Amino acid sequence: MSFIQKFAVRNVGRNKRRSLLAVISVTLSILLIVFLQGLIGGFLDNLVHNYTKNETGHVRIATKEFEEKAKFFPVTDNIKNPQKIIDVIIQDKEINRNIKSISQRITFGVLLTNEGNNKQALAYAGDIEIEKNLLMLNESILPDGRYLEANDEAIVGKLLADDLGYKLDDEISVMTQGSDYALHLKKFTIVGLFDTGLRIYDERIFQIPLSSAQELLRMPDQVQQIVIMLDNYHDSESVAKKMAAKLSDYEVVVSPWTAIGGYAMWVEMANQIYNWFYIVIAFLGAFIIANIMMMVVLERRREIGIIKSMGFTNGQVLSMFVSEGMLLGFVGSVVGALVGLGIVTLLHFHGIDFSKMMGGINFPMSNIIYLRVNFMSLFIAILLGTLVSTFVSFFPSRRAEKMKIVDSIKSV
Amino acid sequence: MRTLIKIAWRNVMRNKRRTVLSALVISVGLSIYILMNSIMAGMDRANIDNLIELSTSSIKISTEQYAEDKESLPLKYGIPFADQLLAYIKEQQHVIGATPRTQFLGQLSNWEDTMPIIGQVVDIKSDETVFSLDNYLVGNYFTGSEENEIMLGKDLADEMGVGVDDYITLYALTRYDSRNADEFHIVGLLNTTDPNINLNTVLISYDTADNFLDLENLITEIDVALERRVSFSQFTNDVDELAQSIKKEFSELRVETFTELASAFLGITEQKKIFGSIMMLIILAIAAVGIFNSVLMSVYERIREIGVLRAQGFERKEIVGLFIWEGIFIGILGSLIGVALGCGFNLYLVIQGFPLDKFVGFQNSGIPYWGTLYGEWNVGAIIFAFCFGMIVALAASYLPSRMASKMEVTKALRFV
Amino acid sequence: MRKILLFIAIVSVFTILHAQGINFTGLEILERIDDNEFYQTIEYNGSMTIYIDDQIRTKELYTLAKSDGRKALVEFTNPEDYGTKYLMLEDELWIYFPSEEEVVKISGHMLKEGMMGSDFSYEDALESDKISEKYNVEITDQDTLNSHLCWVITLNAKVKDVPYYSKKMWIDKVTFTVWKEKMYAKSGKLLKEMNVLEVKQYGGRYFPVKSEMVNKLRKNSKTEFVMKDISFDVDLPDGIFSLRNLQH
Repeated sequence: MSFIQKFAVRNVGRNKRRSLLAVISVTLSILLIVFLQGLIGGFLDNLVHNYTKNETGHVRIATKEFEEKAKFFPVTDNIKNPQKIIDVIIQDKEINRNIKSISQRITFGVLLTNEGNNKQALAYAGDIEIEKNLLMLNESILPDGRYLEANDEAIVGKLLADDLGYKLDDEISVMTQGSDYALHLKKFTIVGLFDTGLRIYDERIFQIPLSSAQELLRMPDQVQQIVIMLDNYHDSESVAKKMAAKLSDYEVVVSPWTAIGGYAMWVEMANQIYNWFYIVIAFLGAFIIANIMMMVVLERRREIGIIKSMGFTNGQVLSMFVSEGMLLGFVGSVVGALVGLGIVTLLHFHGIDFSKMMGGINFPMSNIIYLRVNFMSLFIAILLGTLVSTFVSFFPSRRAEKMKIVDSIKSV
Repeated sequence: MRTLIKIAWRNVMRNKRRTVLSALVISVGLSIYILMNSIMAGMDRANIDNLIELSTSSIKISTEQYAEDKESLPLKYGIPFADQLLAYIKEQQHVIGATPRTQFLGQLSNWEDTMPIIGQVVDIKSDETVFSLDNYLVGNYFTGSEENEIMLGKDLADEMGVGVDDYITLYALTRYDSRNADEFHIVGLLNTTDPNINLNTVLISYDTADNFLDLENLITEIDVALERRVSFSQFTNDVDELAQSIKKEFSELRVETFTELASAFLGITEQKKIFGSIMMLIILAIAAVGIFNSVLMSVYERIREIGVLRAQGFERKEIVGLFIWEGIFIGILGSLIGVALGCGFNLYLVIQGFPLDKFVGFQNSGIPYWGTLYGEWNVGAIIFAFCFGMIVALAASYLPSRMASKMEVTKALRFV
Repeated sequence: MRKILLFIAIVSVFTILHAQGINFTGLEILERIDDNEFYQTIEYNGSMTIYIDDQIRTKELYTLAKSDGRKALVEFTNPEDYGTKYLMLEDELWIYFPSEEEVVKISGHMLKEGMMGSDFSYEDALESDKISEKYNVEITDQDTLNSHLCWVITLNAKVKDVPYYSKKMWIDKVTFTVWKEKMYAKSGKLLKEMNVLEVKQYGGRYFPVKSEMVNKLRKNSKTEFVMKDISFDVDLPDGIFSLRNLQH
């Protein structure tokens, strides 16, 4: 059949305008589909990131006792050698490859008092720099104040401060039960007030540096949780398993976010729904491709008549058209996929920043979507484009081939 | 001019295949756009509806004093004329239910462990008119029997190692700060789409609480449900109006609408909306590619025809005009069909809805029934879609025909 | 902290009478206990051991208390809490933290909630009103407890604002020591049980020097309290029970 294919190739080359038009359509459609896939992946990543960054991370390391009572934020069963554990993890190249950030944290309940006014609150303590990307409370700080810079400083939710009558630069007394089961007190200076717009944060929470918490709770060099964010949340379970294997001697449990809390369910739902959207849109893309291919073929009915009068059999005509379709489809799909890949990769590293579009809502959530590169879906897109083009070239050419030569030459 | 239009129309009618193909692309693209738009809005609506029927209700009412001391959930500062208020509310337009609730602090104990909880006292006759828990019920609802009955969130029950028909000890301070603890029969569990509810809900009836907490019918909160409107903004209006009128009649009350209560959630929806808009843009882009190409192709097909027309004396302007009119007709045809199809399917979606659980494979993942997904009307989007279809069809007709008409006549005649 | 106050209260409310062979009604017994100012002041070293599951935590404390005005000053001497002081005046509580030299006042409603997740509240320590005003009292039984012959007295609430709806007390017929007290919820469920494990005689008094409070709603949960080096009616001027002294 190779001379048929040579013909097909020559035909394609011969009518540049037509071929170009067809290829461009396919390219654009496939490009948009690949971009969409990257966008959906990035959006889901963003969703999971926002759900997990404050509590569990993608993977959380803590003691068994902590995980059992996590709801009550116990500080009595801590990780005694967090740095050692982190070293073990980082040194394993395979695990380290997946890691985006590691954060040591203590979250604990306290009693705040101001002139006989008591209020229960929740303290979040972590590394000041790392928490800029996780808790992100630095982004919601009201203009007069600033983010944490040193020990013994605190940033407090606006509603919490109002409730207790705290102002900027006040010294607040934080009372809590330490890891030694004794009551302890520590004073902090309010360097900033934050307004996230989320009641649960603004009226309950304040953030302090990790070292200050360790002092207050009498847990020197200990932490309550090690919270790890990965590059790809899908790896959470496998990475958690690998970490657990490496840490088997350390009396800690390693949990992926899917094992803690109910959010895995939400994400699974969102995942499924967006997949359906993708399928519909891919269908649209396929439809467009089909449409173009059909026009290409129908345009050439006269040509079919001429060729057949030259002696080509029906089967040969059919296979010629199908080959042309397949070629156009393949080239268009590959180009579209590659360009799409390029854009997605670029945006994977750079990200699309939604913050301005959010219109002044300053939730402590990440608003940047980093598109996700997925080679599997790339492959599927190319396959889709090629198959649809091939398939669609089949039908009209089939019909045309059946026409009587005379009629086809007559058609315009 | 008129002849031009006539010729354009005849051209369009003459080559049905070409017309249909071009118009079809527009139709399919636009109808998908309209439907997806509707579905995304519908999803957001479903989320809000869920929130309203499970936790915030449409309006929450309490006394100002109670609202200020809310932290400690005191069994005091009840609504003094609760019955009167309930009667007033139920008479108002659009109200489908009003029910009292009272919250209290307590502990659950299964002998092994104790867990502090926030409990809610519900009126078992009217609660279901406001909070639709039976979609998420495992076991039974309160039966009103003599026994102490309790309902828990499923995850909470799992944590305490109990299930339906087990017994659990509830400990709390009564209205008079006296300690009470008793065994409660777990009649049902709640397994909802909200992990918070599953983890934190504890419900008992007013009859039980009158005895257990010496409640003496203390009502600290009233929740109101308004009928669901097809248009979300209309619903929000109804709610705001009712809230205003309640505040006017009973000025010493704190009246909060779901928009205030769900502000965090509504904010998160913003992000989803933006993402959705991008998806819509992609749909439109793909549709535009298709429209452009198909119209382009048909123009190119007819360059020879253009040559003939020019040879016959048609001016360039008239040629372009001809194609533009053809573009208009195709555009109208495609856009009308597209919008009609889109609206048609949407009508079904809005009225009948889309049974989510059958499609999104919930059963195997143990996710509870999420209900039917209803479409939302977005007149703006529909109008936009129509205009978009027209504009692209026009642009697609104008540009190439302009180029083609500039060609030398002889070249055009020889074009292949 | 509340646990200490609890025992201070028990100590201040219950007394030891040296009476034998007298027929008392339940109310009379309690009225004897009620009315008797057991001590004007007391000074002692105590230790409180908290048992939850297999955890054991011990707090050591030095206490000064005065019944007039219900004042108490407690200083912790165990390593973790060392130097922390509590000042109690009537219904108010202040805590002094040595590390920051700071005094914090705890408001009433906070104490009710059990700040540290414990189920002992401040009220356990202070039954300010007379028992007779809140309870109907009856001698319901006689019982022998650890070879002590006791009256069993049942108290049932007369009003709604009582910490416990009913209580049962085992009172030694000879020394009037309360050997056991059971506290019941409105539903009749047993909430807590207090047992006196050791009694010492100081002059005319029989004083419970070792007792335990058992949480009956949860397994393996109890607190033991031991008092030693006890001195009664020492001169304790009011100035000791002041904020100024607290910060000192």
